[in-house]
Amino acid sequence: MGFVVIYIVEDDVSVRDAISRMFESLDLYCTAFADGESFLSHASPRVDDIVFVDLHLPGLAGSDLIEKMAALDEAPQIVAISGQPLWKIERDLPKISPTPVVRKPLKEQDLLAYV
Amino acid sequence: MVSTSCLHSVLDTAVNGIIVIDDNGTVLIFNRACENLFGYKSAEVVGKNVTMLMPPAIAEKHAEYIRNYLRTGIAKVVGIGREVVGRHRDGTEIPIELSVGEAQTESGHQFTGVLKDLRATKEYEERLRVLQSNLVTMTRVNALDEMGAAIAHEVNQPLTALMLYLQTAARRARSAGDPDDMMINLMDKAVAEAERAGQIIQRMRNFVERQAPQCIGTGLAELIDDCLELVRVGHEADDVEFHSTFVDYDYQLELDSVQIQQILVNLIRNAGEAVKDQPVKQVVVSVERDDSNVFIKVTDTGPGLSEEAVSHLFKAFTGTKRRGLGIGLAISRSIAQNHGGDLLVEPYEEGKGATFTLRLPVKQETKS
Repeated sequence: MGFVVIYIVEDDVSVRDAISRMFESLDLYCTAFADGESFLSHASPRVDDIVFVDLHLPGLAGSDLIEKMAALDEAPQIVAISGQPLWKIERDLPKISPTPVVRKPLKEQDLLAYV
Repeated sequence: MVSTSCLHSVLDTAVNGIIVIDDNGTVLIFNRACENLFGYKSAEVVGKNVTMLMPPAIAEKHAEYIRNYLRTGIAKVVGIGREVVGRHRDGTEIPIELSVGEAQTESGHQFTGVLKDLRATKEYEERLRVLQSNLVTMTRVNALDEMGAAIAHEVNQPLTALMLYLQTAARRARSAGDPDDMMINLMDKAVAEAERAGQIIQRMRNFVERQAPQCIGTGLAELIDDCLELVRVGHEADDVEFHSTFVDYDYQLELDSVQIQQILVNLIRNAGEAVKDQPVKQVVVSVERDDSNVFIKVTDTGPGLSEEAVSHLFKAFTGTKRRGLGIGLAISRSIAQNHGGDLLVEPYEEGKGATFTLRLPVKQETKS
């Protein structure tokens, strides 16, 4: 199997940078995007890859992005990140595919658990 | 001299209740309006004591009131009028505005009472009072909740970044060729503190995490009217004209009425403030609908909002008002978004006032 790529879709600059740096420091290959649109036009995640998606994104909503990816034949592993209240997360997340959610504020362990 | 039949016709035409009693309290005249008011027929009351129309506590003292007045001439009601409580045949108490006049006749002292039914007025006042107190409570609770949620959310992002940076730096410090124990110790302490801050935020969020809006079918036109009424109460002094152009009283929408009311009252009140010093003082609420949304617009004849002002409008803690935290619009928007809608301001147009648009989805529409 080839090496795993970790994708991050997160609009907050600092959070995006901090997550990238953390993975890089562990010699994991990661690439980050500020919104769902740029992710979709530049990334082509494979089945072994992992995509962390912030639910609160400008433009294409995180939940819609997750739904799109989950519908792929060889869908990557998807993990939602959110700082929203639980009921909002539950309302927003697509019902079809159970997506794990990591809630902010988060520690590296929370993310590494999925890698 | 007026004929008796003419007098009866006058009595029966009167909108207000009219009762005439003698100085013992015996009812001589009980007109048609009184029959409606008290639920007794004239024949059932005439000849009896007027105390049958009063709650027991007042009835007890009525004879004494009359005696006192006749003896001292000091009027408590006669010529003054006051709000009193009457008693309906079924026992319910009725708020009444009573004015009393007196006359000396051949057959002795007589008192004429004119009674105005205050039930509608009282109910209306009571309803308005309940509306207002609900709104005040909800506004307070929401403000606290939203402020907590806003802080939790805003602080969350830098805190997340901070935590990850620190953990990464700590790991690097540990794996460096010549580990600096002091540095590692300090980094671990910093991580622990960031974690503590995270837990505080978490607790705060658990505390303020509100339930989803409680949506029930509500008459939109009536809801808007209520909001206008609530704002009018505070604007009686300045001649601002508030009105709604939406009159489809059958139209129902699924929403959390107290929360939506809070948004509208906030918008209408702001609009009222904006037109205060304008030559034309007008605030209009209108409604537009399409297949999936209803748009409630609040338009004023104020100076309008510059692009600069609009850009800060929905951010918490940026208000320009002396009073308040400037979180009204931020909260309003977040309530709208919790409903799956949004709160927007129309772009600035030279010479026009501001228009705020509250969009609410109608996918759960129930047409009555």
